[in-house]
Amino acid sequence: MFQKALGRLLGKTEAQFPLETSVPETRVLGAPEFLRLSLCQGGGEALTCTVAAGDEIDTGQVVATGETGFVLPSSTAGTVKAITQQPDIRGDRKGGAILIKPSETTEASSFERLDPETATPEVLSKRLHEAGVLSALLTPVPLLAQLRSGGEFVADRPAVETLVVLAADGDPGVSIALQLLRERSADVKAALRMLGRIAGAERLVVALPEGEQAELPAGDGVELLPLPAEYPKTLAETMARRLGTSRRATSVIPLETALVALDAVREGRVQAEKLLTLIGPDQTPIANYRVRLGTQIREVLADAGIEMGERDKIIAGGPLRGFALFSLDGSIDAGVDALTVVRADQFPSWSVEPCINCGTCIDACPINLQVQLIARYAEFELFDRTPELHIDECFECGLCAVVCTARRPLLQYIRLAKQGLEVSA
Amino acid sequence: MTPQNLRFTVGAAPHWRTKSSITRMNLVFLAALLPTALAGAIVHAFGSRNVDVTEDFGPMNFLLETGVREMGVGSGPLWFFGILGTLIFGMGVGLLAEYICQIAMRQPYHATNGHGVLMGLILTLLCPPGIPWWMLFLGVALAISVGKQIYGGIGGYPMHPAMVGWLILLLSWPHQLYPVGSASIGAPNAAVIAVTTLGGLGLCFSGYIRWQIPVGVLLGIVISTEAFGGALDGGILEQLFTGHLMLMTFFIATDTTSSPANRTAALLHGLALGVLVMLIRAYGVWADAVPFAVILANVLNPLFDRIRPKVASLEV
Repeated sequence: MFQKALGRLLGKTEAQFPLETSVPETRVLGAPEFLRLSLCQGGGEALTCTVAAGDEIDTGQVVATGETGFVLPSSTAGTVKAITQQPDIRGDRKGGAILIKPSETTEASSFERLDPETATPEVLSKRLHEAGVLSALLTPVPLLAQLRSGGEFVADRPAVETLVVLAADGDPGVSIALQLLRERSADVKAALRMLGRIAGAERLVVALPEGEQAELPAGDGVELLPLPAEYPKTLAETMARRLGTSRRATSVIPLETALVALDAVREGRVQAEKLLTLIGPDQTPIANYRVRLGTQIREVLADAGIEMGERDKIIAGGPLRGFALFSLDGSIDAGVDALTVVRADQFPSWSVEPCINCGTCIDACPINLQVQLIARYAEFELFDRTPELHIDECFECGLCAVVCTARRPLLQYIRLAKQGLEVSA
Repeated sequence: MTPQNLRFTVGAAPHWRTKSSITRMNLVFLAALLPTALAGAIVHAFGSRNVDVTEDFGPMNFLLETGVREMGVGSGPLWFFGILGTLIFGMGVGLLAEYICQIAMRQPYHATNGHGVLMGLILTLLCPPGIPWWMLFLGVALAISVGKQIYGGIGGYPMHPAMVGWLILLLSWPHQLYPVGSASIGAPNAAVIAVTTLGGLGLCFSGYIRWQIPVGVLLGIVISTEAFGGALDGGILEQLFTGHLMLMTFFIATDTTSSPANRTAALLHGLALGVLVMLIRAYGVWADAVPFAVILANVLNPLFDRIRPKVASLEV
């Protein structure tokens, strides 16, 4: 208590979110009756379906393609039942999904096995392309787009100089990176070296929570970057700052994605499963679920025995950065690291109160932004005054909105200002 | 199984947040001021005093006179409840004034957030127990309307509303606000001021006010006592434990709207306040320096708030 009081005195806000240091039990959810492969993957663009209802498909068979060349391989073998509508979990209206009835048996590998140490970068990137590896970011993008400057997906990106595999979870309560780091520590460096060869990166870094270094001895040309196990210090957006590298030439790959890429090369496998943490209404993790890609959110909740009520929140992602959903029909894709349930009475609504200048947001901001001023400018649409307050430095951790005394939607105001600047530019 | 037709709450991240709110903050302030109010009432009621009950005595004087004269009740308890009644009257006027202003200005009703009540309580604490009811009414109503709502309410006013209200009273009716031989409700003697200090330290440790402001005030007082102490009666301790200095340090100067948001600026704000109070005490004509100092320091705040912390690790 004394320590807490001292912390308050020195300006520590209530927004202290330590990350998980232990992994809850793992539950494996078998294949449901139908899998729904979302057509809103691959960097937000809507994919065009290349199969029709009634087709028999194999694992790894291309079922949809994007305009920029991204291909979506099927994560399961089975029968296409229909091309259906389903809400995109990130709020895009271009929702759609391929409804597949999975067959009983699924082959272990769809492609020939390659050696990640000896195969040429060209062969490796061809494999990542045909395996449709998506980076498990908040909004997933093709992994190749993150790796290659001259890649097929993003043209104007400078060459990647620093490649980071982020083996720490972003949001509090989530522990999938931690679980994977402990389970597959032997593969982490192999995956990083392979991705580094594809990207041509000079500096290879594994960022992992403090205290987990024992899992992964340094060496082999790979740097270890211990991170404080506290939100928001492990977010991908902070890595370039921490390493002192250029933000545009630094790529941060989530650990799960790196391992999926390694499996695609070494085992010839397409990602079929997703690990995610289910965070319950009491703000603690219930379990880590290993589910098939395309499983409906409804099915995970049903397995955990969680009943949703009127005006509750179901969030695809962690509690501080995830997307709130309006329906349980959406399906799990590569970017859903967690499902969070928040009860209707747990979340006080945002208010229209004016800013009372208490300064709590400045105390909470990890980079000392003048959040109260930015939000006031945004409120009155004076967006052009926000760059001088370094609004571009904000990486949207949301801690200001967590603590605001007046309950103002501060993060929304910051995003509004950023969007306003973009529009006027 | 969850039924199909439920409506969920949607909205942008973050999806967790603390329970802090303006209402909670004002309630904590009120709670921290409660011991001061009670101690002040007790000292006035049961301590030595040279004001008679039969004189004009606050909004409760009718009741008091009736009680004392007709029923023969001891005057101590009646004073005690009389002063409590005065305080409640002040708070009630604060609430009412805020409500009426918000109706008149077609604002959403925020009167229940307790800020008007807090302003009423602070203003009443700075008034003597024998203040006529119409004066207190006018002071609080003007504090809320002219001092606060005219600027758009909480978050908008540049100067502390209670100080504005009190200054209007002080400049209009100095003799009623400073009757001979009677101190204010909130600061009759050093013991009550010590109680105020304890409440203020509680606020500090609960994180509702920033320590930079009290420390700044203390520093300012030490510096100015060294600099022009010759013009003051008594040393640092006497200066600290007389008048409304402690009330100001912890409860008035720390009002969020009229104090800086940044911590370095808050320290400067406190420092300026400490020096201004001592300057006015040493060379000013008014007995109480606090309202003038607070309003002057409030006006400086936008300047102080330009001193901002460095944005951490700009891009390399």
